[in-house]
Amino acid sequence: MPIGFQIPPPRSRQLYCVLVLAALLGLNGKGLASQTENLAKLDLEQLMELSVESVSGVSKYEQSIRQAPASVTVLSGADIRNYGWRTLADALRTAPGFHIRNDRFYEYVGNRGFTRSYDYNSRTLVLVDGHRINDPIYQQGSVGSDFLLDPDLIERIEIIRGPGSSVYGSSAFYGAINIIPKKGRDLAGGQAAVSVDSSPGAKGRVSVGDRTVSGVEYLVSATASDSRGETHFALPQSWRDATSSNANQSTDDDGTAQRQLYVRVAWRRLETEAAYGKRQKEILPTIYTTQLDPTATASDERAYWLLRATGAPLPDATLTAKTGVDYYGYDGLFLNETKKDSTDPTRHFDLHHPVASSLSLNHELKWHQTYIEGHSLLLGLEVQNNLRLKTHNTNQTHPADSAASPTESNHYYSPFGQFDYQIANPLRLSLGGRYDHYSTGEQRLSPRTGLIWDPSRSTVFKLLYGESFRVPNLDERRPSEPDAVANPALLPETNRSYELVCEHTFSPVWSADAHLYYTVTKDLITNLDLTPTTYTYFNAEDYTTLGGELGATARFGSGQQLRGSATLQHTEDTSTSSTPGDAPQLLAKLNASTPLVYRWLHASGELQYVGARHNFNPNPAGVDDYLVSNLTLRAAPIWRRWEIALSVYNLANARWSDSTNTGKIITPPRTFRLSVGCDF
Amino acid sequence: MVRRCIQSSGLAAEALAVLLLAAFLITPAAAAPGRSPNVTSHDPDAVTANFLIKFLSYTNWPEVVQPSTPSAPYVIGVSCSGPLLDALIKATDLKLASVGGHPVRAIRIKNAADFDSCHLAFLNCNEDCGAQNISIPLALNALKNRPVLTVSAEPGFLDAGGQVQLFRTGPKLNFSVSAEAARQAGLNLKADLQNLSKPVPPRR
Repeated sequence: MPIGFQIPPPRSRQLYCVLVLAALLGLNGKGLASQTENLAKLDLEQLMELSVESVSGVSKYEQSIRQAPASVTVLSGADIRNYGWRTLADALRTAPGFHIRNDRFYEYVGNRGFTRSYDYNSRTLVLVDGHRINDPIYQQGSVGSDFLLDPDLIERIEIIRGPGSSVYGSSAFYGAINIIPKKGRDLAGGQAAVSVDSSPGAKGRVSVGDRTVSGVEYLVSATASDSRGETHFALPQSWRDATSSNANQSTDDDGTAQRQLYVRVAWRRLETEAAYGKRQKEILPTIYTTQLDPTATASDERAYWLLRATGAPLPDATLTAKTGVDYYGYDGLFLNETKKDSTDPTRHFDLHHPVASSLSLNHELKWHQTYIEGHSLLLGLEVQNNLRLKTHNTNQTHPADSAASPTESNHYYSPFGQFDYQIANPLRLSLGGRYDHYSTGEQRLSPRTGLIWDPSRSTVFKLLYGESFRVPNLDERRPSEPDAVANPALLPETNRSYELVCEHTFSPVWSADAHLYYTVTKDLITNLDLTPTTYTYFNAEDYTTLGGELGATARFGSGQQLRGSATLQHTEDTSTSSTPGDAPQLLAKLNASTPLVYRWLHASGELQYVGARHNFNPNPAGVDDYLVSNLTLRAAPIWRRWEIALSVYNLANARWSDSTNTGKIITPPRTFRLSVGCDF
Repeated sequence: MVRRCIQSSGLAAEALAVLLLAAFLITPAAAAPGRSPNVTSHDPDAVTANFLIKFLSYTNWPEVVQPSTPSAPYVIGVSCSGPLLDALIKATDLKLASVGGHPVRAIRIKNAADFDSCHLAFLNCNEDCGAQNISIPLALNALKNRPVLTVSAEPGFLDAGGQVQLFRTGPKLNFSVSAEAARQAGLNLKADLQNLSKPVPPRR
């Protein structure tokens, strides 16, 4: 059903048109010669100190980070190994401006002072090599143990801050995370790896990959892990008060079982890729404030298959066509409180069995043309056909209270484009936009502009403006909870972001970056009680965020690396002038890595500070700040083909709390992990 | 309403399938998927091109293959067209590069006979390249014991008999040399180049 037509206000559209016109009519580009001259003057040693990092997730084609119209952090596969990151969330914790909330069920991305209760990462887009992972039901972008790719198979992680809807559409609201998997050539043989951890848990992986003489490149990998989690979980007083229970602890309610499979085969201009991941998680009683329930469990299942063809029909042009199938499934079984009657003081806990599944087809065609003057044009079309979206919540205690939504099919189509124009030698303008049209009625135009001034080899300035949106997900449009009421007037959430970036290289070793950003978020979707026993979703809240970030990186010739950042930000609910839940004002990160003993042994440590936050619920009022440290010692290669790593997570055994939808929960204790890998 | 949605998007999917096929069929030859030429100083292809030009200064060739006249060029051959060859041609067209007073010229290697005129061969043909391109094993076989400096960014290049391998360490481009492979080809790599050489990180 149509839910309104959303396009940018006329004034900003006019400004945008003027900018496009100025670029197209524009000023003659003469950057090429002098850029090349600069490089020609360098000697070999200086060339070895240049950063040649590139990013493909900002504009849907590979470009240097300096030219990308976004604020970007790239983490490498080497970082994953050195720091012993177990999940994508572990990596994101080290990124400037990010904090991760962990309710022991999922891990939630906080990006520049923003997370929401009941938000399953629907406002951060997760991509695997540009392919959308957020599902079409809850728009959930998994980053924890429910992510479908083993971290050991990741070549690099591109963390892109700010609106990304101009290339990706919905859910690239505050940012996008693009995962680039390894290729067969990166393995050039087989690998086997096992790890055990003190939680207790164990993980095993077998991978085979190579490129044959005939040019066929393949990678096949399978991972299985099982963990009991925290076997004796102390239940807080707040939980006992809420549930009227006398229990002090729950036993064996934190287990996780995970299965992952990844296959990639490429030959010449064709490649196909398939991934499957399933996670079964036991649910601690505090997550839904349920009674003790040893059978409480939920599984998340994701899979995709892609076929991609790339060609060069014209010189300096690349045509890419992609078609794919995506599957998402969720299956839960747990006790949950059911609202009966406000006059009834008795709390009712019914056994719920929520099920959701989706099957989608996704197609994309894009044309990227580059010009000798340094200009670049991207044109593309994305079509997604959600063949089957299904949600069902069975109340097994009272079947009459079950809720089922009819199976839905819908689709969207989205033309997009970006023009990068070299205005003059050090000045570059990037203009992009995407129009999304949903069969459910929503329409949206999302522009992005970047003015990039690259005056010298050592400094670059970026002035960025972007708009993004998130359409209401299926669960918000047609809630499957029995006590929820659908709101047909629900609109997409919108976000506008302004950012100034300065990156400066002081020496071959030291570089630093500074960011100043301001975001205006409108029409945030919030669940509100209609009556004491029913609720619905409204576009009820507007936020603004003003923040600044400082970061520094050092890479010493001897192999030591240092990376630190500090973020100061203030997020405000504009209607109440209050700070929303889980919006820390201060974040600080430090990562250090150094080779020891003739580079055979590597030591890597990290410190993360997250400031105090308000809770989502007024009682308890807040959660304290915390400082966590992790350490990994990695020895490789041993006897040419072996690798051993010992990691300690939460070195000081700090026990801080994170906000949950219903209160707060204590985070996991200190954990040790021993990993052994072998190439064959 | 739902049925109409399915029909219209089904048509779109069919149209895309046709376009996909068209994209595959109309592509004539070598493509570099996902890569695009950039023009800033930090463009990986521009930096790689300058690495290749600098390597010429750190290599001694047998007198018989050195440029015979001052205007005769040192020649860098690239086995696959694409942004790297573009970057090399741009740098050499601007006459920014010279080695011992000789100009530098970049050419595309289309067949084994083109190696005859090369001083340095950058071997970058992989699965993305058409059958008319020379793959790395074929090129190394054709260049065995010939005074041509072989360079590649392909993993395992030194193990396969290559002389210089480019690789990334974090965001930076580094290289590793096999002085023995160069010596077998009749080349002498200067000590400065060998000192700057770094070990190739193990593949994981």
